Amino acid sequence: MFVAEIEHLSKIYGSGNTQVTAVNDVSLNVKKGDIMLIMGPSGSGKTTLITMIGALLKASKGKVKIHGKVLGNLHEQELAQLRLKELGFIFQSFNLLASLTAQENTAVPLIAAGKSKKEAMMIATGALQKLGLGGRLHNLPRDLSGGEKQRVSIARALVNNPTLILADEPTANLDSTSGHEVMKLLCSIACTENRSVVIVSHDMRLQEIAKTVIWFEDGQVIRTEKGQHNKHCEHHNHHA
Amino acid sequence: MLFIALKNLLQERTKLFMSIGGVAFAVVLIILLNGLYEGWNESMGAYPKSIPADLWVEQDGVGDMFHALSFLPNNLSDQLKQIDGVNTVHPYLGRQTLLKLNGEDTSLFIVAVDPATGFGKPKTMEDGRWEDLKDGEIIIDEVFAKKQHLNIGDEIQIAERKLKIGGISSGGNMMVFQYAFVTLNEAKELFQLGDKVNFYVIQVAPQADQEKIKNTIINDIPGVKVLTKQEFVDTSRQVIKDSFLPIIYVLVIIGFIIGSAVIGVTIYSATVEKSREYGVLKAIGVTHRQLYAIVMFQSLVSGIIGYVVGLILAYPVARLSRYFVAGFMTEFRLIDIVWVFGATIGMALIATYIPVRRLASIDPAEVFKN
Repeated sequence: MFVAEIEHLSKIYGSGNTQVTAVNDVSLNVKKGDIMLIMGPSGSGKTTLITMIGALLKASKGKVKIHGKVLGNLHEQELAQLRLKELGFIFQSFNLLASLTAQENTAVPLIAAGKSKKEAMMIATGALQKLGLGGRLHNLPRDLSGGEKQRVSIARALVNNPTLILADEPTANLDSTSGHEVMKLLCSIACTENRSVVIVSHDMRLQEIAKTVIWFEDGQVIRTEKGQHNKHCEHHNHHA
Repeated sequence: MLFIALKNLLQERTKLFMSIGGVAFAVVLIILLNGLYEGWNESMGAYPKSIPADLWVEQDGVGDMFHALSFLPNNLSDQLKQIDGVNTVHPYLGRQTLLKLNGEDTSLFIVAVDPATGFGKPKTMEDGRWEDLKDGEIIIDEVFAKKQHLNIGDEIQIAERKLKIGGISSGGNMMVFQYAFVTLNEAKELFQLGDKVNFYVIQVAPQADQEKIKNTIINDIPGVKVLTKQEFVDTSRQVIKDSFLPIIYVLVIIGFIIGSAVIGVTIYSATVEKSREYGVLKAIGVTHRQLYAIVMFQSLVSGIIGYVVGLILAYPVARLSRYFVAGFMTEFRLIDIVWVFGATIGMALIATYIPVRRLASIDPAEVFKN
């Protein structure tokens, strides 16, 4: 069974003369432990696609299934629960809450899922320590570097143990060193934790960690390639 | 999720202070207005309440002491005394009198005091003794004294008579005028009542049936009206209920609207500024209900802190106002403090209506736009 199944998915904005087809009849399957990189020029519909997979945007046609659940059949409340427990989001601009510390930002999904603040903070501490941020627990986002912010964002995405991570341009706002660190983390998420990662990006370096590369243009898949994951992965021992 | 609300409030301190300040202002306004109403209400009834009366007899059709003059014949006293159960009957002379002071028209409600029995005496004496009151003298209320800058020994002219101030009393402030006290003889001269009095005040015997006496008077003596002590006090207060209460209601509503608007604007602007963060929370799976709770909690915290600050400020503001404006008499009751708290919670919740609508409209997909 696939973690995510996308069947003939389309998204059309507007109507009549102003109608724009952002995603046009796309079908994809995301396997467990996969790292799927979706690449394409700006305006090709990549972000619209990941937004639909992330249960944040309704499809005009076709369907998205996450663990067999058709998103179109779920109510708003069920979609929120699915995003909270099954999906993890990593954003280009990190999107951390400015008034919360690194530890609190990481704890938010746990508290939203019903954990006590104390327990959530404990789990968040563990998650941040794993990502090398044990010394930055009480720092506000403004006091963190770009790479550190993205690692907090990754910790927040992983803290509820989701099976599918959706990353939108995760290295775009980072310098080369931080970008590499984030790439290694994404690789580790898939290889050591057996989660699936879907990345939307322009960053060609990400092909090094991708298992599948989807080339996207004008809302359509124009080519599917095997990524260079096996050549560069530092987690060979964990490969499924 | 409520810790996010607290963190947001602490991060946006200027907004928090604005919000608290707005609520505190509204709370001070509401508490003072309400206190003023209660103070006036209490003050209006204070003097009639202090008179040892069980029943008041007045000319039919008069209503209260202030809107029309009651005239009753002198000889009615004997007739009243003969009614079974009546213990004492006192004539009561009192009426509003115009006078000119410092070139301006003003008025006093002058009451006759019987020096022998003390009947009609002021509620409380602040300076001097009512027992020392002589013909040609007058006791004025402290509010009038302060307003007109008068002291014991000063003279005021009423009609053709010059009266020396012999004492200062309190508890006789009727807002638009104050009580003043002269001897019975002086009152007769001033009022030119001849063989008439204004009211009769009856004290009934300890075991007597007050209601029965009331009905006997009404049935046996034509052209009179009988009020119990409470009814008489209430009619004295009615004047403020009729004239000031609607105004005070309007001002309280304005205070409520100001408070709601200030919290609403600050919470709304904070929500707009943090729309992206709320979008992020929605995207990661935080429910609408949890988000609404964050906004409501922020509003409630601002409201409650503002209420406490307002409550702390209300009393000194009232004291300060009283210092400058003699008639600024306030009375703070526990029940009013409780309902103002309820009103503040109401303000805080109403204030979240627009921010909550704004929250509902935030599209979480927007967080993918950079």
